[in-house]
Amino acid sequence: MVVFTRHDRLEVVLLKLTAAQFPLPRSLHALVLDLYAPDIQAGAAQTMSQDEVLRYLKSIDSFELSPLQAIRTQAEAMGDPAVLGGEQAAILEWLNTAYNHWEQRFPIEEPLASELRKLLPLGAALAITDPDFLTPGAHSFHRLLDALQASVVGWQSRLGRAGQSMAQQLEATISTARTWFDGNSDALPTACEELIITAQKNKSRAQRMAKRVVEAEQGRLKTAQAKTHAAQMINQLLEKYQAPPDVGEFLKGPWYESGQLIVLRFGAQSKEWAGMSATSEALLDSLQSEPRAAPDQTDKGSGSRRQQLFEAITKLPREIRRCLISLQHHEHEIDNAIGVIESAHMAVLRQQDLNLHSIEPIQLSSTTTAEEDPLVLECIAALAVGQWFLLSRKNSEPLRLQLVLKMASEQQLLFTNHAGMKAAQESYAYFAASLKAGTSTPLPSEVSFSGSLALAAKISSEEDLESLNSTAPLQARQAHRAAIAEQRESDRDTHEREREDQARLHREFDEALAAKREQEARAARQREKEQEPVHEQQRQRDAADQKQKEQDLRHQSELEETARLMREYEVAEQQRDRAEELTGLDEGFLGAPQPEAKADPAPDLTPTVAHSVKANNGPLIMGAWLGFHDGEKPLMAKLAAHDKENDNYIFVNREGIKMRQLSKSELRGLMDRGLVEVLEAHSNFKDEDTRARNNHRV
Amino acid sequence: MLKDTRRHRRLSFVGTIFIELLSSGIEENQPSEVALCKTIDISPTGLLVWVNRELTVGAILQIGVEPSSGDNTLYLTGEVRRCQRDNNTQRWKVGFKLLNASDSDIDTWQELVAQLSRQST
Repeated sequence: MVVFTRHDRLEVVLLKLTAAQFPLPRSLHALVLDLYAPDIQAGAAQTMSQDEVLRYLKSIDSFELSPLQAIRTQAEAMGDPAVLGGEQAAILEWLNTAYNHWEQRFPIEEPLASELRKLLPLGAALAITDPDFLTPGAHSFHRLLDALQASVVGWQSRLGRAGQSMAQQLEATISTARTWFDGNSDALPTACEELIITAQKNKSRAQRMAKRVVEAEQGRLKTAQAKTHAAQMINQLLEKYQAPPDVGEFLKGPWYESGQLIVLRFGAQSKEWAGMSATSEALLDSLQSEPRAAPDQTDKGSGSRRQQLFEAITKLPREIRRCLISLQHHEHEIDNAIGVIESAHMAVLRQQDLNLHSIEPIQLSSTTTAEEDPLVLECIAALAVGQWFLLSRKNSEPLRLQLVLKMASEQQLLFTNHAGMKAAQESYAYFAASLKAGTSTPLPSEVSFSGSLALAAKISSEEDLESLNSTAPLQARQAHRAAIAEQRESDRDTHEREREDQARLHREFDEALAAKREQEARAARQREKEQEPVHEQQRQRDAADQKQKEQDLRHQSELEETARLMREYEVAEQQRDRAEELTGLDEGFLGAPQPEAKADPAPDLTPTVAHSVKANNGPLIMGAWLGFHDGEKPLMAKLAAHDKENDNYIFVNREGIKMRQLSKSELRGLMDRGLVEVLEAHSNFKDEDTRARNNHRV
Repeated sequence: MLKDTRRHRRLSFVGTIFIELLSSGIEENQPSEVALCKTIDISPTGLLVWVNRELTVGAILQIGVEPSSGDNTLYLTGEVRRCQRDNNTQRWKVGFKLLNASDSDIDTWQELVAQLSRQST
């Protein structure tokens, strides 16, 4: 089979289950225990209570470790002899396997991926306390991670301010969700709901932006096609007929422009376009020199031709005037153009030399249409508009891009980024080759976490699901589990007996050893009495050695403790830095989402924009581009000025035309509702001005 | 002829300024267009300049003024209030109203004009 379909199959092969099959119809509890339950150790130490496990999970601060490892590490550090119960350990192992798969198969860019790991202890706590967790897709935690992954699949830190709201929302969601540990049972559904609303809002916003990009591109395509169509018609005629230079100029000028407009307005199949094509040919035909008749001949054919010419010459100016829509409202220029034609016709009628020339065809920009390789077309056909991809290019960071348009006529693909802005345009052939080479890879985003949970329990296809649903395999598994339990019980009895035997032997050995030591001690005391002075010196030396050893040990221990504290400090510092980085993002535009600001019912916006309006942790300066999403259509506008007198923010387009004027409170309101985002936080006018000034001096 | 409707006294001042006629967009293929222009006269709240093309009345544009060679450039924001073609020079006389905008050098500009005004009297 064709290799190009590989990228599409990856998803199918890896997870044949679709979103429609989630939540799964049955709990995976039995299956998880079968797959992950470790053999229960006979005579194992006491099992941790659920409260203890939850305490350990809550206090995890090293999120790189799996929850199981983190609990064991903490228990060891505290000298807690209790161990996790077999069922709990199995569930946590299953969860960790699923989470690792999810991270690898559905990668999210840093720092979001690390931030998300903070949810893993919460997932572990829910997994061992809530039976619903064992049914993939049924629990709000599953839906939360599914929604999170889908909403940040295209997120990249390079998006700057445009991507910061998502990062902030994620941080808030994680923070809210983790309050579950403090007894807030509504934490997870609330966090899930909030995130889904925000994600939907962001998605709609990006879709509106992307729609504009697509419409602009489609408009460009249509214009280019109209241009080509009009040029081809004129060029074909110029190849067939010669024409006077000024008529050639007319045909390649206003006539060509009018042709483009007619194709755009009425279409290439319209009667208007057919009429223009016919007029074009009639015009050129009318300019062909009439063969001069011999004086002694009355050529009937020549007379007929002359008759045709008269008719054409009478009719053509009217037709040309009707078609010249590029000069609409420019009567003077239309008259000039018609004058050129009429002048040429007069020359034809007078049988004067028209100075006919072969006119150079209209030059079209070289649009190299790629050969339609069936393999490439098959590959591109398998791609879905809306699908996300990771594009790796030499000497640049990988890009996460969404396919928004397939341009079949140009064999081009158009991609936008997470903010819905145009980010790349690639040819069919290039993109198909990059998929084949693995430099472009699809980024799936459907039921990612729920699917990973199912996969970690070896449910990856419809067949597996059917097997899970049927009772026979379940009974077989239960029988298998019962056999294992019986075997373990039997092992435990045997082990108990062995332990009792060993204990008896130990007791006998200890008694014999004690008797022997007593006997040796008596002999030693006798020898000491005989060698008292020598013994005293030796005892003092031993005591000094012992003291030195104790000092060395204490010193060593202090060094180790210092090293441990330094490591902990470094980790804490790194975490603090990371937290500060994330918190720093909150110092955003108008200081919008800061909790402190919310606490203040009337936040003070200082009078100058430089101080009150901030983006990217710095002031939002004149020239910054903002995206407004409060109207029917999204609007991009540049901040032209903050009018100190009227305290208004004035937004303009590229030409400086005023698009919006908002008071401080209006702008604040839009910001609070997430209806305004900063697309470009800096202006380059000062740079341009300096460059122009330097060039001027040179 | 442009009617003088300024509230402040105008000072004849011929200097070079740069006006951002078209600002750069957020996409890569949307460069800015900066035009070199000559001032005709100035006031604390306005400028009259020669521009080689017609500007839309009402447009709010960024302006860079270097009072004299080597001085720090003052960045101002101006609204096109009038634009009239001069048939003799084939250029346009454009009147800007300077906005009292934050993040602009309007205060320095006004001090400078006041200073020039004092010197000229």
